[in-house]
Amino acid sequence: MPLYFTKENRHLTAHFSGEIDHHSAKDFMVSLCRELDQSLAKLLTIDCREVSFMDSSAIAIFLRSYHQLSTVDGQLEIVNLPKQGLKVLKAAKLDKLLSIKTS
Amino acid sequence: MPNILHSNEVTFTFLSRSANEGFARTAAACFAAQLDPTLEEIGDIKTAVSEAVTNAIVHAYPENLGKITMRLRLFPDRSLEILIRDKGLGIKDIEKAKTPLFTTGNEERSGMGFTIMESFMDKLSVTSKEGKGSSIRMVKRFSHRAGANFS
Repeated sequence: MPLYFTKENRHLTAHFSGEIDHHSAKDFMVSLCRELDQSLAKLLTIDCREVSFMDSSAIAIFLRSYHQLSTVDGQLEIVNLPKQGLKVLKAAKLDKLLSIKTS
Repeated sequence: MPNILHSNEVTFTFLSRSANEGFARTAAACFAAQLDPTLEEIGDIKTAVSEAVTNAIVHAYPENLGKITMRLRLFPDRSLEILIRDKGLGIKDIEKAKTPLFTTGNEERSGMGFTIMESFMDKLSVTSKEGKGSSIRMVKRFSHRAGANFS
């Protein structure tokens, strides 16, 4: 399963896996936004431990989540980000905006 | 260890289906493997190709399927040239299209495609004619790895 969720109180964790590109991004985004809405989460952790590749489509997903959370004073953190993904986020200067922990 | 004495070249043509993004970047990475690249260099190639092919899928053929051609050329100086060409709508204003966060695509686009291509590759050039199509040419120079026997 490319995306599943775990929840503890108002802490939602989205476990991504596989490749995040334009082909897969819409399904990821729809699932994540719906789960964020329903869970009333204040903290979202995006776990990229099982992500093997990402391009700028991941940026759109992360920024959409970031803005959705900011409307409820929530926080976003990205963990276990692979080096290739970190390089993508750094190129977009998102490493300065988002809380990122690499694998 | 590979010994690249001669240039090499492959050309693929595929439909502008998003399922082909993965095919294109993997094919480019496999071809580049002749140069014994580092994992980081392979990641750079895959990312840049993914961005260029996605651009063609989203912007060249927004309403219909069209053909995308990817030509890969290796040179003895350990450089890889990637040419992604479409015959779609074309880009009205190339400089504007290259502006970070600018996009005419839908919500799953970030507008960072050209920024990432420029950041991951050594050279990037874009040519386009409205109604005729676009070409994105990228060049990556690979590092010399210790112990490898390259000409």
